[in-house]
Amino acid sequence: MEFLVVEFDGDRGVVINDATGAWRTNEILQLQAGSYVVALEPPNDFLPASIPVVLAHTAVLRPKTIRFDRVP
Amino acid sequence: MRGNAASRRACPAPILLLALVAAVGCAPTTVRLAPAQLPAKSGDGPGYRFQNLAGGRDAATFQDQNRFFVCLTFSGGGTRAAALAYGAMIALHQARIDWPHPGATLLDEVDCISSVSGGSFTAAYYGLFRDELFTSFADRFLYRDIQGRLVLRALAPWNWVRLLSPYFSRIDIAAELYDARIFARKRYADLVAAGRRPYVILNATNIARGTRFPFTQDQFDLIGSDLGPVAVARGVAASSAFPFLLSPLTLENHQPLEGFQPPSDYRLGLRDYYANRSRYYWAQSQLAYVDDPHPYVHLMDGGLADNIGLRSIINAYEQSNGFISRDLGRIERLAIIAVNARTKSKDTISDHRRTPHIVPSVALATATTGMDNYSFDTVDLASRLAADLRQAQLAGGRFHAPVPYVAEISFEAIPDRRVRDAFYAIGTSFHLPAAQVRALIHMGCELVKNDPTVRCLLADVERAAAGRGPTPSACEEDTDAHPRAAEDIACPDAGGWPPS
Repeated sequence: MEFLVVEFDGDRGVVINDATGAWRTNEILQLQAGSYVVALEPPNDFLPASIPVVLAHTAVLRPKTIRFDRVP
Repeated sequence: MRGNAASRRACPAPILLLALVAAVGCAPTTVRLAPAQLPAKSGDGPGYRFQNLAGGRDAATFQDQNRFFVCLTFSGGGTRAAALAYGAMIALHQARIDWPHPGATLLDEVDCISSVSGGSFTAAYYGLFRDELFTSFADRFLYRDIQGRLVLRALAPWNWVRLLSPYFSRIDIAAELYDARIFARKRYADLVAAGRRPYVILNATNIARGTRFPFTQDQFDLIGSDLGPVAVARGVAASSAFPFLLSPLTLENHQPLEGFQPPSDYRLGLRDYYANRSRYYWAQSQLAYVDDPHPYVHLMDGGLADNIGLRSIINAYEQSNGFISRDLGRIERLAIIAVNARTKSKDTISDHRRTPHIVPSVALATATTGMDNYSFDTVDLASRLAADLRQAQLAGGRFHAPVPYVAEISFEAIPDRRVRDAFYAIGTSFHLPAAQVRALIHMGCELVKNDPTVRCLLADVERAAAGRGPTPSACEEDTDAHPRAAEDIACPDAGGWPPS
């Protein structure tokens, strides 16, 4: 399995491949290797709108990190 | 080559006589999904899906039930498998636990059951009738000569005419029998209306592709069909259509369906040839129903693709839109108990130099040997995923993952070799002597009660009820745990089988 951290200024639900779940920002998420499109749950106060990512060769102590920035 | 949607019918009948045969000999297929039933790109939508049970994904009950997540898998093996699974259910039903819900049983905490072939009878019956399993299932199915009834139905004169039709076959007779005599004509819509867990996944195999075909709305989306009106008995029949003995069960594929978009997970999986081959091939096989649609899907025994039923659970854990993966962060304990009724038949083929007969020797070996070898790999894969999860927990802090437990219940754990060999010698059939059925029920219960992983799970749950944390697990400290919940299980009597 692979590991991903979605950084954001605040706690927010994470949307992975259009689906929601128990995924939260700033936590280590476990996913199988492969291609994903990651976004955040509303409100739409973040950029970019989504981030494509390919997960491979990560470890729980060295997760892939992506970041969404809050916009006013 | 496929016909256009308007001219395609389940029962084309070019002349009057054939029309008459087709009219009486035409098995039900599937109903096209209405526009309002189309799933979103997330894969969510109405119908028999995990996220629509227990009040739905946003309900407090849904989240609460996720805390202790228990999945069972029941293997194939005819009445032998159904009886062993039933015995296991008796043990789970008696295992009293007070965490996370005081006064519950381990069976109350079961969230999903994935089954194959003979195990599908027990799984579907519990999904439909819950605790009635323990009062009526044995008489309705386990002790009944289902095989004999199938033969009698096939020989009935009215069925001769129906069987002349190319659109009606022995599997449809079996489905009718199961529907009327075992499953009270319940439909998947009844499971949706009940709205409760466990989520029952009856697994068949698409014989053209050799891939699993679970009876869930997620899978039926891909053939543009509504699972709601489908008889649960047809799912059981497809799951248990043993090669050579029963014929395939046929469903209609309504793709391409206007407005349908497969979940994003599938499309993205097609990019993963290098990153993740198993995801790539899975996405390819699933999308083939949509991108290269054929008008029909022919299904046989689920054991041809996975004879232990565990692959559906592994997929739900691994894939990002899988129902376990999506809620992994809220699960505190994740237990998978695989009940495997695998047998070891004596090798009689290798005693002779002469080439084995195609039927039955080669045919049976082809249908069963591969299944059983693959089962070991599948259990091993689940155990490795659990081990990986335990490793990942060392990160602590920002990684929220459940404490995992993977148990395999099989005859291999019977300590007495004579008794073990007797169970290994029980045949695969839908009619067993009552003494063997009784012994299988007893053994299913005893094997669960004495399984080290189940005992460790129960010990951990007792600790949690006493206010102690999820780690360290009893498994790490004591491989011979004695939880009260296990000690209190009183299994049914074996009835003196096997005789000494």
